[in-house]
Order: sequence, then structure tokens, then C-alpha cells
Amino acid sequence: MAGFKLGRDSERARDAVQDTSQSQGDFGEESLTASRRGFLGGAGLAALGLATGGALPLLGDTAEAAPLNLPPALPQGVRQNAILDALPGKKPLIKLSYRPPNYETPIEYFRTAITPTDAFFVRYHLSDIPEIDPKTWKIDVGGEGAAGTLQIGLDDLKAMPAVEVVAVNQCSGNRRGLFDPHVPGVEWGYGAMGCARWKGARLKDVLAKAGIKKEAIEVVLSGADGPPFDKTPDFIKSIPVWKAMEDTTLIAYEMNGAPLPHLNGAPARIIVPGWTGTYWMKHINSIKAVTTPDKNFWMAGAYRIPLGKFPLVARFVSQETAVNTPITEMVVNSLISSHADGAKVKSGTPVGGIAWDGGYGIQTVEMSFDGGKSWMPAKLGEDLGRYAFRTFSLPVKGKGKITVMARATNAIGQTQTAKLIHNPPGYHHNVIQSVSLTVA
Amino acid sequence: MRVMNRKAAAHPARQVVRIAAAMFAAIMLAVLPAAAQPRDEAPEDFPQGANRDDTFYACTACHGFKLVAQQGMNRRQWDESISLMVSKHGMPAPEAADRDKILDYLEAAFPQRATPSRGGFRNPFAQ
Repeated sequence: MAGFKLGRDSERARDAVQDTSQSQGDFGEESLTASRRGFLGGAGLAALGLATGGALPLLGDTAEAAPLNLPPALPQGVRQNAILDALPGKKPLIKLSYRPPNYETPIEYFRTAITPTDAFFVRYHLSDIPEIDPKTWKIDVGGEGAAGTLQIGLDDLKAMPAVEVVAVNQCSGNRRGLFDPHVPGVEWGYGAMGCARWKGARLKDVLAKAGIKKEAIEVVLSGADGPPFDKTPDFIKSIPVWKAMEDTTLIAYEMNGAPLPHLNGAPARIIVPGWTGTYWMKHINSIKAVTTPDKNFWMAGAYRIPLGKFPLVARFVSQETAVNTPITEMVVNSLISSHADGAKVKSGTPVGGIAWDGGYGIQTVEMSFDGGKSWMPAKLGEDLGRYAFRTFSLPVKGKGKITVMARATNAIGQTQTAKLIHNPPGYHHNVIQSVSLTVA
Repeated sequence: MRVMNRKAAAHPARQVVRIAAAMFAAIMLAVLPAAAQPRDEAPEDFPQGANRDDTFYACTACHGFKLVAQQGMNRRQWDESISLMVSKHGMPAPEAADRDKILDYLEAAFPQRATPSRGGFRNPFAQ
């Protein structure tokens, strides 16, 4: 897969954008909120088709472009400007920004426990995304917390014992666009997440080759992508040694049975099951064990949540301050994905979606068809492990316009919140969702 | 920035892009010929208003303008966002007059959003 280059590809993408923007008059509130009509209409799809047919390599199948079910609570600027756009190797996703690429997955792809790779969301902080030759690519392993240093390539990784884990990768700021009052940032709707089967070597096995000292407290991760300016802090993250040593914390080179796509971190990325996506370093090229807390901007100045506001178990003690802590595990959450808000359904039709948490496992999902007055347990789908999406569904009851809700509870009794827990960066949105359906 | 430098050495073309981006930001509000910038969007894609083009080129030195247009903030919040990018992200500080121009446009084009009141997401427990 060729690298993501802004020059030539962006010119082509711009053409597609300009073409499709002409049909933005169709993006009336009605069509966006209820999505009773297909997205874009014929003209827009034709424009996308032009772009896929003639220009960008390896584009997804635009004929399967899903309707753009944007939550009505998203800021107006998002809804006015949102379009579906296909990056190389991807189906059309909801474009929030091209530079750096931030594309979320339309809700329709969340009807299964595994998210298709070509519909998996794309998220970058910094726009300098290099092309990488997997044959010559190496990870530098070392740091003052390691006994030695080594370089490890893709073949070396593949020669080590392979581990597979099905795990959710969710951006810390997923659903930020639903925060009220407004929180600046990428204004994600529901789709800055996905669940895949990841395969790779254990991070702890790689660290063992370098020899990790008992004084080591954090493992610092850096990838090949970088900022457009040398003065902008490079994206570097650390995780506590205890998390780095878990059996499912991987350096993954496969996603859903195929090599990682470039825009999801090829040749290899870090997998930190249960924890938010910020630690899942893409294009990993440096792993360092350190004996003092990492102080770079992306640890000390970003991805922090207020202490004591969220019911979290996993702590990152070496990075805690008197007032805040790095974000760690995901909060328990669910998403109704079978039907769009405003859809018409026949009585008895299964309605459902997916539920997930920070790795304790989903215990129950309850559903309400009367706006939260009464709740019934939903039927859970296949269990792909405690880090995976778990599908749920229940035949819909009622008549006329009803409000459907879902509430997930995990194995340690945590459940979704009824009221938004506001926090400055707009993380951990797990407010119980409401979807209006008309039952015939 | 060791990683950065190594990458730059490996990709001369990329370094050219980076230098171009740096020059771009250094002159901040100068309007370059449209063909000179790699981009997927144009000022005309966004709401009309005084200083729109200057604001567009100031922001797109580092990131796409859609990231800007999806926000909705008052002047103080916009000003804080610029301060954050200057202090935390290494953005060259705009001169006061340029900063005012940028804020004038942002405040007018992307004002603080009203509380959503039209249908859609409603949480019956939140009352």
C-alpha cells in the first residue's frame, strides 16, 4: 500500500470534495437527522464514483456508501460540512478533516462485533505521514530502563510467538461533538471506534529481549508520523510498565487476518486492549523503557481527565497529579446501530447494537422501548472476549413513535451514565443513547 | 526530534513540504497563489466574511480548515484556542493586528453554538 501523500492525492480529493459540495444543498436538517433518503443523492454519489474510478488507488466500493446518520446534537459546523469521502484502501467514511486525516465510521458498520477493516476509522494528530518500506522498517528498542538496545524488524516480529486478541480501539474523544457546552477538538460523532482481531508479538517479549530493569516505570512509544512543523510536539505516548507487560498488549502487524492497512498503522502498531486509542501507537518505530515519568506534551499536557470523576479501576500512577490523571481504560458503553433515528419498523423487528467496556466484559444490556420507564434484558450475541464489541438485540415492542434506549453493564457492575460527566477535553462520553422509532 | 530529522533525511521531498509549511506560517497572513498549497479544500468552501481567506491560510499552514469550521465558540474561546496552539503546539504567535482579524472572522462565521433544542438526542434522565 502506498503512503498517504497530501500533494497529489489531495488535489484529487479536493476535486471530489468540490464536486460533492455542490450537492450540499441536500444536506437539509431533515435529511441529516432522519436520513430517510440516501446520502448525497445521485449527483453526489456520481461525484464520489468519479473520484474512485479515475483517481485514487484502491478505493472502497462507493456503491455501498452508507447513509450519513449524523447525530442532530453535533455542532452545526460539523453537519454542514460533513461528507463521505474514501481514503486509499477505505470505503467512504465520514470526513472530519483531511489534513491530518480524521475519518469516522458510519453507524451502519457497527452491526457486527468485528468492524470491517476497510470501514475502520482513521485518526491522526499530525499530518506528516511517511511512506514506510516494511522491508527496511525497524523498531528501536531501549531506554535507560532497559539493560540493552536492539533493533527489530517485521520478520523478527513475525518469528516471535504470535498472539491474537479481539479488541476495541476507541478514540478518547469519541462523541465529543455531542458535548454541551461545546468542547473544542475533533467533533466526533459515534464512529471514532472499531473492533478488530489483532495479531502480533507481545510487547513484553520484545522488551524481554532488551532486558527490562526493575527501576523501569513506563514504556515510551513513538511512531513514524510527525508534525508539519518541527516546533509542534511529536506524538509520543507512554504506558505504565504493568500494562506493557500484560499478555494481550501487542505489537500487531495483522488486523482481521490481513496486514495492517497503512492508515491504521502499518507495518505495525501497539495494541493496548481496554485502553483508549491514544496509546495504540501507529507506525511504531521506537519503544523505550524509562525510569522517570515521560514529560512530553502528549502525556503531561493532553489526554488527561479530572481525578475522581469517572469510575475507573486502571490507574497510571506515575503520571497522576493532584488534580488529574492520564485517561486509561474505556468506560462501559453501548450503541444502538440497527436502525437510524427516525426509522420506521414493524413490531417485533429485532432492534439492537453493540456494547463494550474497558476489558471487564459486558454482563448485561438492558433495553427500553418507552423512553426509560421500563427495562428488559436484551439477548447478547457471540462472546469474542472481554475486550471485544458484544452485540445485543431485542424484538421491538410498542406502537407509533417510541423512544428506544440501551444501557450496558459490565462484569464489575459499572454502567452507563444518565447525565454527561463534563470534562475539559471532552472524553468518556457514555451517556445512554436515545433513538426514536416509529413502530407500525 | 531525532525521529523527525531522520525521516526528513530519508524523504527530501517531505522536507521541502515541511520547509514550505514553515515559510507559509512565518508569513501567516500573506495570501499565496492557490495552486501553491497542497490542500483538499478552499476558502470558498466556508462561510463568507471579512478576513475569511487570511484566516483560512493562517490555519491551514498546519491543519485542514474543516477542523476549525466544526467548532462553535465565542471570541474569548477562540482566543484561548489560539493561545493554546501557540503555547502547546509550537504555533508561531500571530501579531496582534492579525490575531484580531482572525478572531473577527472566526467569531462571526463560527459563533458559540446554541444548546441543541431541535429533536434528536434527548436524555430523559438529564432533566
